[in-house]
Amino acid sequence: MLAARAVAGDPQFPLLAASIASAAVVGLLAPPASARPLAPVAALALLAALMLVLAAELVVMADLARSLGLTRFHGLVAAAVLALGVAAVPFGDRWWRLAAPVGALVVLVPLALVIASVGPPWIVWRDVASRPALTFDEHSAWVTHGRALPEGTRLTFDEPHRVTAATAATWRVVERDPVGRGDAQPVRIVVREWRLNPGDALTVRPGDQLSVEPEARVRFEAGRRVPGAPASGISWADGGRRRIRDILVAVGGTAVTLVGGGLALVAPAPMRGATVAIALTPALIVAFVLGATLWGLYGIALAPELSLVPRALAPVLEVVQRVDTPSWRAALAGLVTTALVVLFLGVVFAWRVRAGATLAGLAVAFRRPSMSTAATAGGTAAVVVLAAAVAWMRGDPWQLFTWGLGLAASAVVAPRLAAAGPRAELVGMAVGTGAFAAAALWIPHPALVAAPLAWLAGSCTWGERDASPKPPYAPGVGEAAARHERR
Amino acid sequence: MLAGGVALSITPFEIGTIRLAGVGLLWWYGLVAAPAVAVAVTAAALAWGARAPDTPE
Repeated sequence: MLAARAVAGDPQFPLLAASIASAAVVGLLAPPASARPLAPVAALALLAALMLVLAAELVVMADLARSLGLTRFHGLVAAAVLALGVAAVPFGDRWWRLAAPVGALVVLVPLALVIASVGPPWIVWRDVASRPALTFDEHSAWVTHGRALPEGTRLTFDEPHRVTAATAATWRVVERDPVGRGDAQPVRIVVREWRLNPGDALTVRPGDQLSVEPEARVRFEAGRRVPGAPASGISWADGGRRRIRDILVAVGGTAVTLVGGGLALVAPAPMRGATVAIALTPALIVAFVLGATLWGLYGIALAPELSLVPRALAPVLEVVQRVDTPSWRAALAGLVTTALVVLFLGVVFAWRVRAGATLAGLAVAFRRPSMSTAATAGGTAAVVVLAAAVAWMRGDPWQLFTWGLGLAASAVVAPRLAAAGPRAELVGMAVGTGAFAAAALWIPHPALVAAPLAWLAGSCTWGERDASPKPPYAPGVGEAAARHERR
Repeated sequence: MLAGGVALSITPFEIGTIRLAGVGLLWWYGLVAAPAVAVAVTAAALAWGARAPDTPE
């Protein structure tokens, strides 16, 4: 997802990458579990957040399947079956724990080959940042054979562009012609539809908006600007001028969402372990964030048209197809795909541990101190099925991911930060959940509003306060959950 | 860390866009300097926690 946002030219991308790195390492520093368990409704909110995060991962795997030529449905079903397998097989934890770091490292191996083939990142960055426009390359599949645009795509063109149909389809062009003079020019909107056969071409003008049937392949003109991509390399690198308020809201919202969610969902690092592992864990996380960024950088450098198909893993697969040595391409694509599947399994395992701990805490809250292994597996499997259903309905993995983290930050972490006792925490959780749900309908960073409100509601509620002078910000779910995680 | 990045984004004269070795200063900060500091601080904190003696709750 980070690589795709780098390709798309997110204006605050460097700070987004720093936020993700800091969210992961801050989560490592959280105390392992607080003495007081979460209230049942807060545990349910945490389960909902975990479900959204898993749904985002399932969408990413479905995108991977589409990039490999399969359908989204098949990719989603395969990913859900893999996730169910990890959730329902509660043994071999020692080996499952290795899946995420091994997958993350193996994803970085082809990147080293790409760097050796294309050039060091700072040279590539300088090259991209100095381009006057991001244009179609003459060897791109979008120019030579044509490719299908995702369903619902509407391309707005900045310059005249001759677009050719590679398959028979109906095309719709929305034309906006200014009429009259002056600053507030009225616009006449004309919608035209054509039935094009393979080889037929259409020339669109600046401002025209083009949409085609799903699965219909189109070919673009070499050397022309990629519609929807940043206006130039400088615009991609520097993000253009933005108001200070917009920057503060974007960075603050991202930081509250990611760091707050990281506190709730990232498993704390063991304080009693090998020193090498303690030093390597945060370094590996940051290396992975940097690696994802570099995949995006090489993606925009080698294939700027990636912004036409904003799929999460498209940059990774597209870049390995542009390596100079053709015989390496299939091997690298296979290696990357295998590594991504292993990484997915590792992420699902970490997710299962957190979901199992939350379910164990929920059982304690309902006065059932011990939860059988089968019951835990059944509970996590049910959440996996729910996540698959959500992933099928909602296609944007970044939104699902940030909703999950934001909900955890607002409903679980912020009320506990108030350290005002069980009753206040319950009030804060209710306020945080309600505010998050309402704000999610209107603003892009709902946690920026919901988390402070939840903290405020918790702080202002009268009741028995926590005896611990330390802020119990780690939303552990009590001793039963701690036992579950240790197990 | 993040406040430093925000400061680079909003300071006058667009300091964050200054090129160092060809790469924008904000990119160096967000992708190299800040994560490196985060890793160092986190590893130090975890190592400190690992060496500290157990204290009764």
